[in-house]
Amino acid sequence: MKKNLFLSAMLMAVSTLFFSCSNDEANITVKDGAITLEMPINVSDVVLNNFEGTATNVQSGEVTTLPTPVKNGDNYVITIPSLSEGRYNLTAKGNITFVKDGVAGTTDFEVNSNDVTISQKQAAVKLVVNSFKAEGGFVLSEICTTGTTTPQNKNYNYDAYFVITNNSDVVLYADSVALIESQYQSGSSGMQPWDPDVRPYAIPAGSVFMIPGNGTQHPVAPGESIVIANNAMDHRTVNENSYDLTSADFEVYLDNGGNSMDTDYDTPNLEYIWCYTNTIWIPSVQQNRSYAIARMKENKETFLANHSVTPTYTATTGKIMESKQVQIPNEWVLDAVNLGTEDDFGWYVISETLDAGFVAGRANSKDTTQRGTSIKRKKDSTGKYIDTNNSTNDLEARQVPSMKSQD
Amino acid sequence: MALTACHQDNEDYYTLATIGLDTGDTLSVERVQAMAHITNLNSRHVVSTSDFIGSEVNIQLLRGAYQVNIEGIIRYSDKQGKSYTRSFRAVSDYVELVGLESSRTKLKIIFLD
Amino acid sequence: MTAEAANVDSIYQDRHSLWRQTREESLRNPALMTHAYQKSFTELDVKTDYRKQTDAFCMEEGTGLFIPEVAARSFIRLTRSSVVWGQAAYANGKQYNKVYNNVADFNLLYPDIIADSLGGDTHRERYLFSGGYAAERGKWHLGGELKFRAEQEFRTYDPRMRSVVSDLTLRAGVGRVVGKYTVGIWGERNIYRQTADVDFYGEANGMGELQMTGLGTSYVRFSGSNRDIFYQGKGGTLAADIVPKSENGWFGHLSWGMYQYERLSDEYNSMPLTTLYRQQRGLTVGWKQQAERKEKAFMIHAAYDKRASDEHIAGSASGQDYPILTSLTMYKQHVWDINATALYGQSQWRLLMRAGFLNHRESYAYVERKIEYARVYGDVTAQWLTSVRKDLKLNIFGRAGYEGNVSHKILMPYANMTLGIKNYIQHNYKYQKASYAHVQAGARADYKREKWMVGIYGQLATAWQFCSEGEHESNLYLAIGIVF
Repeated sequence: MKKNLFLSAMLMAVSTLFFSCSNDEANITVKDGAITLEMPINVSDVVLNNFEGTATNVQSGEVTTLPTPVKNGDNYVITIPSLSEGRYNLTAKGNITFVKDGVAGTTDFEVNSNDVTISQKQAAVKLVVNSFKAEGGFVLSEICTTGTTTPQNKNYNYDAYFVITNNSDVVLYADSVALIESQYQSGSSGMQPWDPDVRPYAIPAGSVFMIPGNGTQHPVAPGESIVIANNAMDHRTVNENSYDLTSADFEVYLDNGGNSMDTDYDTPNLEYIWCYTNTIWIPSVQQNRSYAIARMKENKETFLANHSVTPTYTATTGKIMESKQVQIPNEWVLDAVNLGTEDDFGWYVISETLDAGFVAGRANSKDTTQRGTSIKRKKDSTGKYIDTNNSTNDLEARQVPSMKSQD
Repeated sequence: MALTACHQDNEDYYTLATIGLDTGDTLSVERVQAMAHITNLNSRHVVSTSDFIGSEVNIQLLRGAYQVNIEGIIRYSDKQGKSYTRSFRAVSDYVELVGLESSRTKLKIIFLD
Repeated sequence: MTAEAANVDSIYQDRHSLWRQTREESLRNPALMTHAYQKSFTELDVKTDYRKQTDAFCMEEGTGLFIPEVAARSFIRLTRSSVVWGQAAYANGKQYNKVYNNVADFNLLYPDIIADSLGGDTHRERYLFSGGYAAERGKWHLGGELKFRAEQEFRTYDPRMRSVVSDLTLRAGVGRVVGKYTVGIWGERNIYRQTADVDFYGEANGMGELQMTGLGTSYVRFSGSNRDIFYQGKGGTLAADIVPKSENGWFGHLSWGMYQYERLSDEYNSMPLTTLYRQQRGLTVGWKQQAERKEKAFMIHAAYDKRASDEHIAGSASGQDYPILTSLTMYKQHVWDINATALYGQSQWRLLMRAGFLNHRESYAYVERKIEYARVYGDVTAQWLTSVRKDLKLNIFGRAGYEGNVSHKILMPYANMTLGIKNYIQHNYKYQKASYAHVQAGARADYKREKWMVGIYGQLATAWQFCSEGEHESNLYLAIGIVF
């Protein structure tokens, strides 16, 4: 008995063989999976270009190239004919063009989403394209209107210039962006009971000059600037303390059909929309007028027809005073800067909703030490211009003009 | 003879995390369009989601400590009913999401414009 | 053969026969050591172990080792009913090309180790002391044993790992004769400590160390400059045996061991990073019969080894302390080994056959990782014990076997893995799912002239393992010593 037990046990020892196949679990295929590329809700007219996308299966490491998305309403949808069920790392990059606040823009984008489950139960997933900031937009980064002093100590006022910078992360087009000077000046003597008081809804503008173009002719890269000169010449040839503005991108030229005493230099001209003077335009040397930039939404004729109210008031003498001006709707405004004299700031000539503070240029009306300086917008630690819509905090006066030669 | 006590495996791995955006009492959130990237501080593994419902997003996570980074656009109306659409960011370098079944956290938002 | 020679032969057989494998497990109970050997003996020897693999079968263990050792081992019968035994050894050698492993006792502590991808050769130095006492009183047996191991392992070039181990085990047992059998129960308590740190002397060589957590994962938050860790371990085993008083009858063994090893970080104020829990269960059932010239035995053995590693999730530091938010068992390993052994001996010959099945499963909870493989194995061992002359005895053995892979599976989040870790995992998996053929042969010669107080012996053995991946391993064992 024991001998039999022993032999059978030995046989069992030899024959303990277990067979099973190496198990590769059958992969479930997800048919017609959909990845929605959701476009930012704060821009419109989005067009997707140059799309590249991948779906990497976390377990196998297999990379599937995503096909070109198809527009579906405001968004784009990528349909994947067949994909193994699993977890995926998704990437998408490309370029979009869009319109924001009337300003056309374009930006590259790159988004990713990690560890996303794609399964038969969850065949639709989403990628959100919003990793850029179209805010910031154009800002007035420098206002240099103080004029300079010649070596002979004479005033020289022809060398004013403005710098507009793209403070966003996307390419913006400067076409139809206008430079505006306020009609009124901010000192107490300028404060009058004009009727209508358009400031709650518009800028009472004395000068409006617009960057021409069909919408995409003047791209400005993120962080790049446009210089608008009053007169785009090398002013050092007549005043060695002045600036060389021949490199300006645009200049102001009063193209008003004959009365102009302005000189048309080689630099492209801004389109003349409106100016209180027909002869020569000198921006505020006393730094008591406000400046703004706006996206013009109507052509010159239509604009002048729709936005040319003339406010009036009755002076103490009984005379009816008129202010021939145009109005720029506040909704069109991209950036506004109130300027004033430190000891005599009477009123906000541009609505406080556009700029809640002001930059003090001169200390008082007798102060001339601001000559040869400019007002500059501050930058934050990331290198972006600060724009809290409060010039008291956002800009500082008496800075070295950027166009001043360093040698 | 004292022996090591029997060890029960700790297998309560996951928590359903609700990450909300703290917009204060005065704003009424209409829509949030954002990507949330949630990084496990211990493993540095990142999961992403954009499935916001209102101002909250729910996602099943491994219990642990996380860094949360949310960036996107929020549409809201103020007390006067005026609607705004603004870019925002909500970031926290340390959030504990260790609840056995569910966890909650709220991140303050910073407007980027 | 004279009666005297036969007597000597039986003592030699008692010490060297394959038959001892039917008693090995029960002799772990110190109380049952009173009949471990027929006669007292003491051996002093110098030996060396050499291994070389053409490619590391396991990257963490490297491609080979060379470890010479000086050892003394003694079993002394004090009276008819009491014995003492002891061992002392000193080893000093090297291990080669260890990568992704900067600790000593890798097999004990895996996966909770500190590691980097550079690695290199290490020096190993080990002191071992053990001693025990057992006595019989009537039907009762009592015994106790103490073992202490101190070991250090270090590297003399960057990355300069240094590990110092102290490992203390106390064991106590009791046995009682019940009819034709002796039933024994024993328990042991273990205290384990290891400090492990890694330094870089060359400024340009500085790199981060990984606190590994299993299957290529690491505790990233506390990896990097955290290069000093220590382990605190404790645990114990409870076991029971039943053995026939003579060498005839059924025998059985049941054991259950639980051990834990906590890994703490020196840099972060002794913060616990992980705790490894090991559970080891064993069951053996067998039957044996030994007559004057024939012996046979059959046994079935099943062993289960579970490792579970808890990761302690750290919160935000307050001062220098990190609170632990929760612990999650992220890594698990289950190993089952079931085998059947048949032994047949006649006169000077013994033949042992074994066949078994090994199943190994490892997993990491999130992001999911798995490695699983199973093997069937079989081997045959033949032994010839003989007295060539009165003063010369020989123990010659040979063994051949095969381990064949029958299933394997790997699941890894390759998209999330660095190239280095991916290569490391795939390298080890290649050898885990391979099949192996092995052969082994050796001989020991004991020489003692009649008038000598002390005999001398020499042993030489070689073993070869051939992998289905085309690589192989060679081993050489050499020992010379005196015995009295």
